Amino acid sequence: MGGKMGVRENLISEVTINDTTLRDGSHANSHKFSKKQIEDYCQLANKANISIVEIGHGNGLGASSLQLGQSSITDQEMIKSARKHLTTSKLGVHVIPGFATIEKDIKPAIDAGVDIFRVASHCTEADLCEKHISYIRQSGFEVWGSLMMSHMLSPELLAEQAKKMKDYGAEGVIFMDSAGAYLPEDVATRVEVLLSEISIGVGFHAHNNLGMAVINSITAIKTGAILIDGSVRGFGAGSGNAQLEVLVAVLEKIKISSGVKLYPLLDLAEYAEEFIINEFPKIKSESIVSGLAGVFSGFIKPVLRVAKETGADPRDIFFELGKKKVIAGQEDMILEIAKNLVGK
Amino acid sequence: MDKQTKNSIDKDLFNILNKRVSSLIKAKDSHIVVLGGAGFVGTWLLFLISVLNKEFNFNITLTIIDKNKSDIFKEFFSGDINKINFINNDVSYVSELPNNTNYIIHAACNPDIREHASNPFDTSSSIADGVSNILRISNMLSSLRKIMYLSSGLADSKYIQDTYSRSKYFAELLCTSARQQFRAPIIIGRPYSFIGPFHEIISPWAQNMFILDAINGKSIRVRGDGNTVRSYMYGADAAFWILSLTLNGEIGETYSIGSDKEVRIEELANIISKNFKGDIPIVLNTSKRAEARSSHFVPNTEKERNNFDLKIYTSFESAIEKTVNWHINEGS
Repeated sequence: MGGKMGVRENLISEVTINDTTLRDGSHANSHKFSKKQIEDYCQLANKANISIVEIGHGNGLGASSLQLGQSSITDQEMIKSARKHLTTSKLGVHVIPGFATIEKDIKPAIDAGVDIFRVASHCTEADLCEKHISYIRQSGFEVWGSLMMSHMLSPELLAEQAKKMKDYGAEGVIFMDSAGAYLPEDVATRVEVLLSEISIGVGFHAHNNLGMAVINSITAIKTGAILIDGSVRGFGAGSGNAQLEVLVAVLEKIKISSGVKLYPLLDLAEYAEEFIINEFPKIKSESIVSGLAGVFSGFIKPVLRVAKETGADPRDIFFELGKKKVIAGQEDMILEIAKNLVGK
Repeated sequence: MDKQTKNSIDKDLFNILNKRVSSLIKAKDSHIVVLGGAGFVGTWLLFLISVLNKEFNFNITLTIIDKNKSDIFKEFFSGDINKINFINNDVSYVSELPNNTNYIIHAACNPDIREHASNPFDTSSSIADGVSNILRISNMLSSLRKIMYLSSGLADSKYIQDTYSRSKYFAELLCTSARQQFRAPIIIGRPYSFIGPFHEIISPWAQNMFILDAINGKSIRVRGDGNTVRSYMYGADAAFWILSLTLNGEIGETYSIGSDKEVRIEELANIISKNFKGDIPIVLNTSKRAEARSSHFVPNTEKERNNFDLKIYTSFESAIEKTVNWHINEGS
């Protein structure tokens, strides 16, 4: 580990805040944002001077489906609803190659007025992003790469993947703590290695499984990250993200400028609490265990179901899944593991 | 490419040759093989040799070998009376070269960093396989005078860091070993940054991205603070330098091929923007790094200038103007 936290503090002049409430929060409300919610939220987010407001299905453009959950309105409707109210804030979208294609999703998103694209892959699969990142950069738009489940790679191998994204044309790379598995020193080490290996911006996306989302984000900023994700009230998948209003307040306290206006942000959070958030993200027992085991939060529901069916302890299932380094899409291993545990 | 554009490229080359053709005299009546002849360097060499034959009666036989077909060759040079032939083959699999080959210029390589990033194994193995194959089969050529292996400026020890640069460094080692073991008459050329017609606009280098941004009517996006330093050599100058060093260079030597006129990336963006009508804004620091890190990639060409009287014949500003016009006219 050995992250030298705080050593570059004096170099920091600015951090860009990316609000993921209307994207990661989509997981938490089963992708059911309405047009009015998006419009009202964006109006207030714009007033709060949030740098980037990311919207869309939890898995990004083109992901609305029976398997992953259907959005209540189309990507285009979401983008257009947000666009008309974001005059100073930028409009961002999440893109996972495979769900999103250039022709079907990216070109129409460009036409509808998206400012920033974040092209994401599992942390070992940056190659999948080549065409998408290249196309967006060639079209003259801002594009970042995102590496999901980044805790599954060593900092050095993570940097190798990040460099690919840079070579494809990304203007920065975000490493995502999708399982909420990091401690501050893990984050610091990764930011330092990424900064020394790729000469572009580094961003960080936290999850709160171990209650570390805000301190991990602050650590990332102190170590040199320049783009940080957060959502109001922490509204996001599983146990949620870094709570944005807390993050901004802490940044004010430690005198790091984010450009976000605190009072309007607090108003925004109040609005979201009343009109958007159906259930607050909680750090439940299974979130703690999935964070400790480094397993993607999306496994929580199927693990609980299989545990109930087989009588296996869900906590043991999580630790076994963690040992096998499972990733999203490998949910069929849950049953096999549960049966083995019960048979012991 | 239309006839008018071809004529302007011929003119760029003629203007250099008119002053310096005597330095290429060894090429007269020779047979030159260019490997990777459909790429940027290969295409400029094709035009250069064509002008030498047409305007200066050099009577060069040119054989181009490339795994990609060349539309330009097909359009302007197929069935050419100036003895220019095209063979569609991968240099890694070529089993023989023409018996009477006098010079080989190995310019085969895919310099696209996206390809290197996605396919590092293919990148390194094709560089190594290609050069070792050519070194082996060239050993059977009785009339061979020189082989110019075009490596990369990145093979200089101060720049080596990734798959591509390491592979090019290893390819240079293969060349040196072949020279030591079977006296292959090898010269190594290290190209730096080139500019001009025949680059694909979507090739991911700053100059292309900036031109593409401007053609798209967008702001020119500069990732860093604009202080990164590069230099750019126009394609016509590059072709002349490569042929000149192939003919006149010392076996066993390594030469830099590039301009030593330093240009800050912000300056490059400004000059590109001035070549477009209207105001093309330039956005610096699009990656908004907290700590800017600039790099410097410019050759030292003192040896090449002093020993071979090589110069920059096309100014940087003129090279940019010609490149922008080409991309606009060719519809990129």
